[in-house]
Amino acid sequence: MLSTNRQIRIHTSTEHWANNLKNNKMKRFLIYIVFSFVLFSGCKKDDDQLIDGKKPEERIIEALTKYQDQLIASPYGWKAYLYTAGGSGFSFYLTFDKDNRVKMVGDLSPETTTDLFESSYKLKASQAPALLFDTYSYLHIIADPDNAVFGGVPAWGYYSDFEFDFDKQSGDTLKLDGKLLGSKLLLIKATQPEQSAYTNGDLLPSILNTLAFTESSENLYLTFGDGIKIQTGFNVSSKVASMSWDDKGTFTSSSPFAFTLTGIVLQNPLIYKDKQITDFTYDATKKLLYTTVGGTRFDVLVSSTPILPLHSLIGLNYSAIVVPNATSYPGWSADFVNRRAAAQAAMLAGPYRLRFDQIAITFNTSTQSMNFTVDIYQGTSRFTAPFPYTYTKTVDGVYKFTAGAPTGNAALIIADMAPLTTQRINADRFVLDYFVNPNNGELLGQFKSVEHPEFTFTGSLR
Amino acid sequence: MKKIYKNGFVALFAIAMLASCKKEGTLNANLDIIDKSVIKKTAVDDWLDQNYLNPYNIEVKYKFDRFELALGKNVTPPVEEQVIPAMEMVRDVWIKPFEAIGGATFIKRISPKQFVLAGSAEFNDDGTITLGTAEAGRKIVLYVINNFDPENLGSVKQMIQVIQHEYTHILNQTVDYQTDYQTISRGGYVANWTQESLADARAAGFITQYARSAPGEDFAEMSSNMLMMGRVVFDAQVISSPTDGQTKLRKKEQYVVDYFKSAFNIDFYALQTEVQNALNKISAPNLLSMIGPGVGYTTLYSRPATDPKQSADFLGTWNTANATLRANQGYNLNDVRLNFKGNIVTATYTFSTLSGANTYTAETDYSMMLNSEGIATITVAATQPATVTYSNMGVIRNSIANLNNYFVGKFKIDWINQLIPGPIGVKGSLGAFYKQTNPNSYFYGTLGQ
Repeated sequence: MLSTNRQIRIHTSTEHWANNLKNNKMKRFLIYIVFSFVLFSGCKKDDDQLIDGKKPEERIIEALTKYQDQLIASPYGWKAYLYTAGGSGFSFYLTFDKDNRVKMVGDLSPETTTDLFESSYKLKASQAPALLFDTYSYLHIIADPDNAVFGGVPAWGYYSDFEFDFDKQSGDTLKLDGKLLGSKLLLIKATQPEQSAYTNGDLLPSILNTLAFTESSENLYLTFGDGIKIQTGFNVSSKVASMSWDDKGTFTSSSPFAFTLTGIVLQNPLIYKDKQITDFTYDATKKLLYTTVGGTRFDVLVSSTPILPLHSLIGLNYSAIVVPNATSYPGWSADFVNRRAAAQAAMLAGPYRLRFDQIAITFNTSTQSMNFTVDIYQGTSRFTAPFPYTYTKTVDGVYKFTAGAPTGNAALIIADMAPLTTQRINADRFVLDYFVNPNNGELLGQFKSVEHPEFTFTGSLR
Repeated sequence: MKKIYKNGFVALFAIAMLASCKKEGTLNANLDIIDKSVIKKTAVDDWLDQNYLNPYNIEVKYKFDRFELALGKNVTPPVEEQVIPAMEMVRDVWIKPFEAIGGATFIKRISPKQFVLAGSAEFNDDGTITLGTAEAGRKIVLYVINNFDPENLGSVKQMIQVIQHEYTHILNQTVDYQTDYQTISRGGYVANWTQESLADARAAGFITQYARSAPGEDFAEMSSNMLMMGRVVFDAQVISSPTDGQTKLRKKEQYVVDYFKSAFNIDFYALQTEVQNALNKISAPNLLSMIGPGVGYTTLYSRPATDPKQSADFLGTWNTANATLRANQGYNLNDVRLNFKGNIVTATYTFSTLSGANTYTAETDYSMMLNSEGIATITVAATQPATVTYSNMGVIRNSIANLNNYFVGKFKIDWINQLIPGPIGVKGSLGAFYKQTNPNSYFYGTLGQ
């Protein structure tokens, strides 16, 4: 800019042109020098832009070659964990060859664990070096938009990818990001024993063992020695593992998982206080899954009753406790039996000659309300008599019910029901607990009065 | 002089500067190397080279390339082993008929330059799916290759229909179709064609709902549907349309036929037959499913006295009836035509005085029920119309009673090309009724509409 201005000034000033020719020449020479300097520096700048003196396409081809060489060179192939954008996990074992062919097995179904599938792959640079699986393979099944193929959501399947950008490398692990949806793919160099195991078809028995354990009970739990039982669940259809526990409030932690040769691997650690769980291993002798945290082994245990206390689940997993029509029942105290009998007799002796049948106690956690609905029969006609309550609950699960005004049929039997309602449900505080029916093993829900420990009753969980 | 020298100096200097810049190296990056696509060819690649690239200069791209498809859509690539069966079918049902009728170089001269194959469909936001698209007469995208079944006629037709449609566009780009074509259904083109019924489309002279979207699409739908339906089915669909629609469809049919003749010297009906023959190789057409109004054939015509290879049983019955009619009433029985009207079949005989001076028509109705095995049970219809041709039957009934009885019973309806070789599924094909109890006893005739 500076040199241009000076040049213009020189050319427009004819007076100086005539008188100071020599001087002018000198000036012009200087200008040329300055000008040429600018030009040269412009040229030189080109070289400065190159990193390591290499052109962009040279660096990209270097990166591509580096990745491709690595993929091909891993002597025992690659373990792969694909965590979809839809929040599921899948595992694969892959081998890449120099002719752009990839062979794989995967944990999608029994067939895919053993039938080696060959397809095409290539490396390509777009914005970053990318690994493209460019003909159909097990990876694509998860992404298939036709949910008749493998389920998932129409048009999207499990929101998965089959084209990935290389993100970073740490040790033997390559991390890749899905180009379309951002699924995460981990490629981990396999060891020789792992290669033999995959080749022998060991993935399938490992999955079947794990499933046999996880599907055997709904009540799996972990405990880390602090007295708190952590309900541990594995949802095989959505491929999500979760932990829930009750510790003055209900807490959860969950993560997508994939099957491995030894059990289950998690995308993100499940976190309980300071404990981080990254995987589960199957113990063939004890026939259970265990995890190792800080060098200590913790087994996943089986409980006959749900792990979370009933007060955490009522209104959510269970909507009601249904107290059957009976004179006595497992879990009913003598006091309850007598009071129920008194109510029954009063009702039958009343003007409508009503027969007391079952009671359905339903909970609504969002409105903090409970309905104590008595079925009453006049002859063969069934009527319902709802007694409405609101409630408060302490973090320890102690309920205090506040009676609303019974209306309709319930209004007709207020006095008859008093031994159960007015004198107990309305007046006392209650805790809920599980009760296993000793006759048939059925899981029941039990009400226990805090003020009158001799008043307890049970009903089926619905 | 000094000035020249000075200017020259400046010029030289500038050139030198520029030259020195240029010397730094070419600015053209070799972008080919960033796509590591120098990939060893597989058996599929070789097959495609031999069958598409080398003979026709058509590239078939089956490996996934995001930029060939709708961006942001989740479309999965084909399973490799589906590629050859699909493209064999494209070759046999699309390319070969054009070569047979249009000349060996026809597809070489005018063709899309690229097929892109996708394994899944493209799922649209409105819940529909896209099965085929074309761009600028250059590229045709075929979807659902992973569902393609070369033995399933429906699957084949769905795929080839897309190509025939798009190829019509490509032909139109080479030689435009007649401009007044678009006046035939003037006012019938609508933007929201998906909301319109097929019946309304036919009434307005459109072969499909999609044809209503624009005249160019209309032309492509006409030509592709005529080719893929075949003439018999196409005619049946036209005949069963409302009169005004029928007239327009016939007019459009003529425009298509004329266009192929004048632009490419192609006999369209011959091309249609070639395409049908190719489809018949996948699954021979079933005559039963091609009989009836709106479906296919509506008539079967027989002239037993001169038909070769009528069964001895039927011919004997016919001759006896004719001899009786001649002896007792002085008429000669000429021919019979069965008219298929759904569950009713009308038999129409013509008979003449022995001199041939006068010819009359006699008709009788049968009812025909089909069971799931394709056996037709024929009985005399309970009620007969009272018109003159039915009265005429009353005149000759006693003489030809044995013939009328022949048509009563259980029959298997099929082609007769095993006994009398000839094309099936086309206009003029021969169809036969075989007695279920004795397949050697049958009558046959020429199928028409």
